Amino acid sequence: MSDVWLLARYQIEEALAKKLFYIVVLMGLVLVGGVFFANTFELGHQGRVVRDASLSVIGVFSLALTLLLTLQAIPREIENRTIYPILARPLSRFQYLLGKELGIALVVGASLSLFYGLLLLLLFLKEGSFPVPLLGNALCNWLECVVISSFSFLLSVLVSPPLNFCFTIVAYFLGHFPVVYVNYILGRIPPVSGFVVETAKFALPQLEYLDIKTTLLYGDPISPLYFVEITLYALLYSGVLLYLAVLFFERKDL
Amino acid sequence: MREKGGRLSGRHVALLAGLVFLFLFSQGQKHVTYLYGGAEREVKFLSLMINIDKQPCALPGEDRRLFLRIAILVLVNLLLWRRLIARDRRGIKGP
Repeated sequence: MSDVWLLARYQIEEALAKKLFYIVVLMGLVLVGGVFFANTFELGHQGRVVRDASLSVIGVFSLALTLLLTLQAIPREIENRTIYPILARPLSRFQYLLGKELGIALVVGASLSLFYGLLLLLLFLKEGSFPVPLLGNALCNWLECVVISSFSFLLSVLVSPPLNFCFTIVAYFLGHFPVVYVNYILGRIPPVSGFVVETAKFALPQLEYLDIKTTLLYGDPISPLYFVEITLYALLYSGVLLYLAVLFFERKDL
Repeated sequence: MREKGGRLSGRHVALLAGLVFLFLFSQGQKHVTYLYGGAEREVKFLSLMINIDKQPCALPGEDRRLFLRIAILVLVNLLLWRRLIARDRRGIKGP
Protein backbone atom coordinates (compact mmCIF):
# COMPACT_ATOMS: atom_id res chain seq x y z
CA MET A 1 0.00 0.00 0.00
CA SER A 2 2.95 2.32 0.67
CA ASP A 3 3.97 1.91 -2.98
CA VAL A 4 0.47 2.94 -4.07
CA TRP A 5 0.61 5.97 -1.79
CA LEU A 6 4.04 6.92 -3.20
CA LEU A 7 2.68 6.74 -6.75
CA ALA A 8 -0.35 8.77 -5.70
CA ARG A 9 1.96 11.44 -4.27
CA TYR A 10 3.97 11.40 -7.49
CA GLN A 11 0.75 11.89 -9.46
CA ILE A 12 -0.30 14.77 -7.18
CA GLU A 13 3.07 16.48 -7.63
CA GLU A 14 2.81 16.00 -11.39
CA ALA A 15 -0.67 17.57 -11.41
CA LEU A 16 0.51 20.51 -9.30
CA ALA A 17 3.36 21.13 -11.74
CA LYS A 18 0.91 21.77 -14.58
CA LYS A 19 0.17 25.41 -15.38
CA LEU A 20 -3.07 24.44 -17.09
CA PHE A 21 -4.29 22.86 -13.84
CA TYR A 22 -4.02 26.21 -12.03
CA ILE A 23 -5.64 28.03 -14.95
CA VAL A 24 -8.66 25.68 -14.93
CA VAL A 25 -9.02 25.90 -11.11
CA LEU A 26 -8.71 29.70 -11.22
CA MET A 27 -11.24 29.97 -14.06
CA GLY A 28 -13.64 27.78 -12.11
CA LEU A 29 -13.27 29.92 -8.99
CA VAL A 30 -13.73 33.14 -10.99
CA LEU A 31 -16.87 31.78 -12.66
CA VAL A 32 -18.35 30.48 -9.38
CA GLY A 33 -17.73 33.90 -7.86
CA GLY A 34 -18.87 35.67 -11.03
CA VAL A 35 -22.29 34.02 -10.94
CA PHE A 36 -22.97 35.79 -7.63
CA PHE A 37 -22.14 39.18 -9.02
CA ALA A 38 -23.98 38.72 -12.32
CA ASN A 39 -27.21 40.63 -11.94
CA THR A 40 -29.07 39.00 -14.84
CA PHE A 41 -31.32 36.73 -12.86
CA GLU A 42 -33.13 39.09 -10.52
CA LEU A 43 -36.44 37.50 -11.38
CA GLY A 44 -37.70 36.12 -8.12
CA HIS A 45 -35.82 32.81 -8.37
CA GLN A 46 -32.43 34.38 -7.86
CA GLY A 47 -31.21 32.17 -5.04
CA ARG A 48 -32.05 29.01 -6.93
CA VAL A 49 -30.67 30.26 -10.24
CA VAL A 50 -27.40 31.33 -8.60
CA ARG A 51 -27.02 27.94 -6.90
CA ASP A 52 -27.96 26.09 -10.08
CA ALA A 53 -25.49 28.02 -12.21
CA SER A 54 -22.71 27.72 -9.61
CA LEU A 55 -23.20 23.98 -9.23
CA SER A 56 -23.23 23.59 -13.02
CA VAL A 57 -19.99 25.56 -13.32
CA ILE A 58 -18.41 23.36 -10.64
CA GLY A 59 -19.64 20.23 -12.47
CA VAL A 60 -18.18 21.36 -15.80
CA PHE A 61 -14.84 22.41 -14.30
CA SER A 62 -14.43 19.27 -12.22
CA LEU A 63 -15.01 17.24 -15.40
CA ALA A 64 -12.48 19.39 -17.27
CA LEU A 65 -9.91 18.89 -14.48
CA THR A 66 -10.47 15.14 -14.44
CA LEU A 67 -9.99 14.90 -18.20
CA LEU A 68 -6.96 17.19 -18.10
CA LEU A 69 -5.26 14.99 -15.50
CA THR A 70 -6.32 11.59 -16.81
CA LEU A 71 -6.07 11.78 -20.60
CA GLN A 72 -2.30 12.25 -20.72
CA ALA A 73 -1.32 10.52 -17.47
CA ILE A 74 -0.25 7.18 -18.97
CA PRO A 75 0.49 8.10 -22.64
CA ARG A 76 2.88 10.87 -21.57
CA GLU A 77 4.77 8.56 -19.22
CA ILE A 78 5.15 6.02 -22.04
CA GLU A 79 6.21 8.73 -24.48
CA ASN A 80 8.73 10.27 -22.05
CA ARG A 81 9.86 6.79 -21.02
CA THR A 82 9.44 7.69 -17.34
CA ILE A 83 7.19 4.65 -16.93
CA TYR A 84 10.06 2.16 -17.38
CA PRO A 85 12.01 2.88 -14.17
CA ILE A 86 8.71 2.76 -12.26
CA LEU A 87 7.66 -0.60 -13.71
CA ALA A 88 11.16 -2.00 -13.26
CA ARG A 89 10.63 -1.78 -9.50
CA PRO A 90 8.85 -4.61 -7.66
CA LEU A 91 5.52 -3.05 -8.38
CA SER A 92 2.53 -4.59 -10.12
CA ARG A 93 0.70 -2.73 -12.85
CA PHE A 94 -2.39 -2.87 -10.66
CA GLN A 95 -0.53 -0.87 -7.99
CA TYR A 96 0.69 1.55 -10.64
CA LEU A 97 -2.81 2.24 -11.96
CA LEU A 98 -4.33 2.35 -8.47
CA GLY A 99 -1.71 4.91 -7.40
CA LYS A 100 -2.43 7.09 -10.41
CA GLU A 101 -6.18 6.83 -9.88
CA LEU A 102 -5.85 7.65 -6.18
CA GLY A 103 -3.63 10.67 -6.92
CA ILE A 104 -6.08 12.09 -9.44
CA ALA A 105 -9.04 11.45 -7.13
CA LEU A 106 -7.25 13.37 -4.35
CA VAL A 107 -6.32 16.30 -6.60
CA VAL A 108 -9.87 16.57 -7.97
CA GLY A 109 -11.22 16.24 -4.42
CA ALA A 110 -9.01 19.10 -3.25
CA SER A 111 -10.10 21.27 -6.20
CA LEU A 112 -13.76 20.49 -5.47
CA SER A 113 -13.17 21.50 -1.84
CA LEU A 114 -11.91 24.87 -3.10
CA PHE A 115 -14.91 25.34 -5.40
CA TYR A 116 -17.45 24.35 -2.75
CA GLY A 117 -15.60 26.35 -0.07
CA LEU A 118 -15.96 29.50 -2.17
CA LEU A 119 -19.59 28.71 -3.00
CA LEU A 120 -20.53 28.15 0.65
CA LEU A 121 -18.64 31.26 1.74
CA LEU A 122 -20.43 33.43 -0.82
CA LEU A 123 -23.79 31.90 0.09
CA PHE A 124 -23.03 32.55 3.78
CA LEU A 125 -22.19 36.20 3.03
CA LYS A 126 -25.36 36.57 0.93
CA GLU A 127 -27.88 34.61 3.00
CA GLY A 128 -26.29 34.37 6.43
CA SER A 129 -26.37 30.57 6.64
CA PHE A 130 -24.38 27.65 5.28
CA PRO A 131 -26.50 25.50 2.94
CA VAL A 132 -25.02 22.22 4.21
CA PRO A 133 -27.10 19.96 1.87
CA LEU A 134 -25.03 21.32 -1.03
CA LEU A 135 -22.14 19.24 0.31
CA GLY A 136 -24.09 16.18 -0.85
CA ASN A 137 -23.63 17.48 -4.37
CA ALA A 138 -19.89 17.79 -3.70
CA LEU A 139 -19.76 14.08 -2.91
CA CYS A 140 -21.71 13.32 -6.10
CA ASN A 141 -19.34 15.51 -8.16
CA TRP A 142 -16.33 13.74 -6.71
CA LEU A 143 -17.80 10.27 -7.32
CA GLU A 144 -18.62 11.27 -10.89
CA CYS A 145 -15.00 12.37 -11.39
CA VAL A 146 -13.74 9.06 -9.97
CA VAL A 147 -15.93 7.09 -12.41
CA ILE A 148 -14.93 9.29 -15.34
CA SER A 149 -11.22 9.04 -14.50
CA SER A 150 -11.46 5.22 -14.28
CA PHE A 151 -13.26 5.16 -17.63
CA SER A 152 -10.62 7.42 -19.16
CA PHE A 153 -7.79 5.33 -17.66
CA LEU A 154 -9.24 2.20 -19.24
CA LEU A 155 -9.44 3.93 -22.61
CA SER A 156 -5.98 5.49 -22.29
CA VAL A 157 -4.54 1.96 -22.25
CA LEU A 158 -6.46 1.07 -25.41
CA VAL A 159 -6.72 4.14 -27.64
CA SER A 160 -4.96 7.44 -28.39
CA PRO A 161 -5.73 10.53 -26.24
CA PRO A 162 -7.98 12.27 -28.84
CA LEU A 163 -10.14 9.16 -29.20
CA ASN A 164 -10.12 8.72 -25.45
CA PHE A 165 -11.39 12.29 -25.05
CA CYS A 166 -14.22 11.74 -27.56
CA PHE A 167 -15.31 8.39 -26.09
CA THR A 168 -15.20 9.68 -22.52
CA ILE A 169 -17.28 12.74 -23.42
CA VAL A 170 -19.81 10.52 -25.23
CA ALA A 171 -19.97 8.18 -22.21
CA TYR A 172 -20.43 11.20 -19.93
CA PHE A 173 -23.42 12.48 -21.88
CA LEU A 174 -24.94 9.02 -22.38
CA GLY A 175 -24.48 8.45 -18.65
CA HIS A 176 -26.48 11.59 -17.95
CA PHE A 177 -29.18 10.65 -20.46
CA PRO A 178 -32.33 10.33 -18.34
CA VAL A 179 -33.91 6.89 -17.93
CA VAL A 180 -37.28 8.48 -18.78
CA TYR A 181 -36.03 9.29 -22.27
CA VAL A 182 -34.56 5.80 -22.68
CA ASN A 183 -37.93 4.27 -21.76
CA TYR A 184 -39.60 6.59 -24.26
CA ILE A 185 -37.22 5.46 -27.01
CA LEU A 186 -37.61 1.79 -26.04
CA GLY A 187 -41.35 2.01 -26.61
CA ARG A 188 -40.84 3.19 -30.20
CA ILE A 189 -38.16 0.86 -31.57
CA PRO A 190 -38.10 -2.86 -32.43
CA PRO A 191 -37.34 -5.23 -29.50
CA VAL A 192 -33.92 -6.23 -30.90
CA SER A 193 -32.72 -2.60 -31.08
CA GLY A 194 -34.37 -2.02 -27.72
CA PHE A 195 -32.27 -4.81 -26.21
CA VAL A 196 -29.09 -3.20 -27.60
CA VAL A 197 -30.07 0.23 -26.23
CA GLU A 198 -31.00 -1.20 -22.83
CA THR A 199 -27.77 -3.22 -22.58
CA ALA A 200 -25.69 -0.17 -23.55
CA LYS A 201 -27.49 1.95 -20.99
CA PHE A 202 -26.97 -0.69 -18.33
CA ALA A 203 -23.29 -1.18 -19.14
CA LEU A 204 -22.31 2.48 -19.34
CA PRO A 205 -21.79 4.43 -16.11
CA GLN A 206 -25.20 5.59 -14.91
CA LEU A 207 -24.13 9.12 -14.00
CA GLU A 208 -27.75 10.21 -13.77
CA TYR A 209 -27.84 8.57 -10.33
CA LEU A 210 -25.18 11.03 -9.20
CA ASP A 211 -27.13 14.04 -10.44
CA ILE A 212 -29.00 15.25 -7.36
CA LYS A 213 -28.79 18.93 -8.24
CA THR A 214 -32.45 19.47 -9.15
CA THR A 215 -33.67 17.66 -6.06
CA LEU A 216 -31.34 19.75 -3.88
CA LEU A 217 -32.36 23.02 -5.51
CA TYR A 218 -36.03 22.38 -4.83
CA GLY A 219 -35.22 21.51 -1.22
CA ASP A 220 -36.53 17.96 -1.44
CA PRO A 221 -35.13 15.66 1.24
CA ILE A 222 -32.53 13.07 0.24
CA SER A 223 -32.14 10.00 2.39
CA PRO A 224 -28.61 9.33 3.76
CA LEU A 225 -29.08 5.76 2.49
CA TYR A 226 -29.19 7.14 -1.05
CA PHE A 227 -25.70 8.59 -0.60
CA VAL A 228 -24.46 5.22 0.65
CA GLU A 229 -26.00 3.53 -2.39
CA ILE A 230 -24.56 5.90 -4.97
CA THR A 231 -21.13 5.81 -3.27
CA LEU A 232 -21.20 2.02 -3.43
CA TYR A 233 -22.36 2.11 -7.03
CA ALA A 234 -19.68 4.57 -8.17
CA LEU A 235 -16.81 2.84 -6.34
CA LEU A 236 -17.85 -0.63 -7.49
CA TYR A 237 -18.23 0.57 -11.06
CA SER A 238 -14.78 2.18 -10.89
CA GLY A 239 -13.48 -1.10 -9.49
CA VAL A 240 -14.65 -2.99 -12.58
CA LEU A 241 -13.17 -0.35 -14.90
CA LEU A 242 -9.88 -0.41 -13.00
CA TYR A 243 -9.77 -4.20 -13.24
CA LEU A 244 -10.28 -4.04 -17.01
CA ALA A 245 -7.62 -1.33 -17.28
CA VAL A 246 -5.16 -3.53 -15.34
CA LEU A 247 -6.03 -6.49 -17.57
CA PHE A 248 -5.32 -4.57 -20.80
CA PHE A 249 -2.34 -2.75 -19.31
CA GLU A 250 -0.68 -6.05 -18.39
CA ARG A 251 -1.07 -7.23 -21.97
CA LYS A 252 0.51 -4.04 -23.29
CA ASP A 253 4.04 -4.59 -24.51
CA LEU A 254 6.17 -2.07 -22.61
CA MET B 1 -5.62 14.28 -34.87
CA ARG B 2 -2.43 12.74 -33.64
CA GLU B 3 0.82 14.52 -33.14
CA LYS B 4 4.08 13.29 -31.66
CA GLY B 5 2.96 9.74 -30.96
CA GLY B 6 -0.61 10.41 -29.91
CA ARG B 7 -0.02 13.48 -27.79
CA LEU B 8 -2.75 16.11 -27.92
CA SER B 9 -1.56 19.52 -28.98
CA GLY B 10 -3.17 22.68 -27.60
CA ARG B 11 -4.78 23.35 -30.97
CA HIS B 12 -6.45 19.94 -30.99
CA VAL B 13 -7.73 20.35 -27.46
CA ALA B 14 -9.15 23.77 -28.35
CA LEU B 15 -10.76 22.36 -31.52
CA LEU B 16 -12.36 19.45 -29.67
CA ALA B 17 -13.53 21.69 -26.83
CA GLY B 18 -15.01 24.11 -29.37
CA LEU B 19 -16.86 21.32 -31.16
CA VAL B 20 -18.26 20.00 -27.89
CA PHE B 21 -19.34 23.49 -26.88
CA LEU B 22 -21.02 24.12 -30.24
CA PHE B 23 -22.81 20.79 -29.99
CA LEU B 24 -24.05 21.57 -26.51
CA PHE B 25 -25.06 25.07 -27.49
CA SER B 26 -27.00 23.92 -30.55
CA GLN B 27 -28.68 21.09 -28.66
CA GLY B 28 -29.33 22.62 -25.35
CA GLN B 29 -30.46 26.19 -25.84
CA LYS B 30 -33.92 26.74 -24.52
CA HIS B 31 -36.24 29.51 -23.58
CA VAL B 32 -37.17 29.97 -19.97
CA THR B 33 -40.00 32.31 -19.24
CA TYR B 34 -40.37 33.91 -15.85
CA LEU B 35 -43.25 35.92 -14.52
CA TYR B 36 -41.85 38.87 -12.64
CA GLY B 37 -43.77 41.93 -11.53
CA GLY B 38 -46.70 41.00 -13.77
CA ALA B 39 -44.50 40.97 -16.88
CA GLU B 40 -43.05 37.98 -18.67
CA ARG B 41 -39.35 37.88 -19.16
CA GLU B 42 -37.56 35.32 -21.19
CA VAL B 43 -34.09 33.98 -20.60
CA LYS B 44 -32.21 31.85 -23.06
CA PHE B 45 -29.51 29.66 -21.66
CA LEU B 46 -27.93 26.28 -22.04
CA SER B 47 -30.30 23.64 -20.81
CA LEU B 48 -27.39 21.84 -19.22
CA MET B 49 -26.55 24.91 -17.21
CA ILE B 50 -29.94 26.12 -16.06
CA ASN B 51 -32.83 23.87 -15.26
CA ILE B 52 -34.98 26.22 -13.29
CA ASP B 53 -38.08 25.29 -15.26
CA LYS B 54 -37.81 21.61 -14.37
CA GLN B 55 -40.38 20.36 -11.97
CA PRO B 56 -39.21 18.85 -8.71
CA CYS B 57 -38.88 15.15 -9.28
CA ALA B 58 -37.91 11.98 -7.51
CA LEU B 59 -34.25 11.04 -7.60
CA PRO B 60 -33.48 8.89 -10.63
CA GLY B 61 -31.78 6.25 -8.53
CA GLU B 62 -34.68 5.70 -6.17
CA ASP B 63 -35.84 2.55 -7.83
CA ARG B 64 -34.97 -1.13 -7.80
CA ARG B 65 -32.59 -0.73 -10.73
CA LEU B 66 -29.95 0.90 -8.56
CA PHE B 67 -30.09 -2.00 -6.09
CA LEU B 68 -29.86 -4.42 -9.00
CA ARG B 69 -26.83 -2.60 -10.42
CA ILE B 70 -25.09 -2.54 -7.04
CA ALA B 71 -25.77 -6.26 -6.52
CA ILE B 72 -24.41 -7.14 -9.97
CA LEU B 73 -21.36 -4.92 -9.46
CA VAL B 74 -20.60 -6.52 -6.07
CA LEU B 75 -20.66 -9.96 -7.70
CA VAL B 76 -18.58 -8.87 -10.70
CA ASN B 77 -16.00 -7.17 -8.44
CA LEU B 78 -15.74 -10.21 -6.20
CA LEU B 79 -15.23 -12.50 -9.17
CA LEU B 80 -12.69 -10.28 -10.91
CA TRP B 81 -10.58 -8.98 -8.05
CA ARG B 82 -10.25 -12.32 -6.22
CA ARG B 83 -8.16 -13.65 -9.10
CA LEU B 84 -6.03 -10.55 -9.48
CA ILE B 85 -5.33 -10.12 -5.76
CA ALA B 86 -4.45 -13.82 -5.40
CA ARG B 87 -2.02 -13.52 -8.31
CA ASP B 88 -0.58 -10.30 -6.91
CA ARG B 89 0.04 -12.03 -3.56
CA ARG B 90 1.87 -14.85 -5.31
CA GLY B 91 4.22 -12.17 -6.59
CA ILE B 92 3.52 -12.22 -10.31
CA LYS B 93 4.14 -8.69 -11.48
CA GLY B 94 2.68 -8.50 -14.94
CA PRO B 95 3.81 -10.40 -18.07
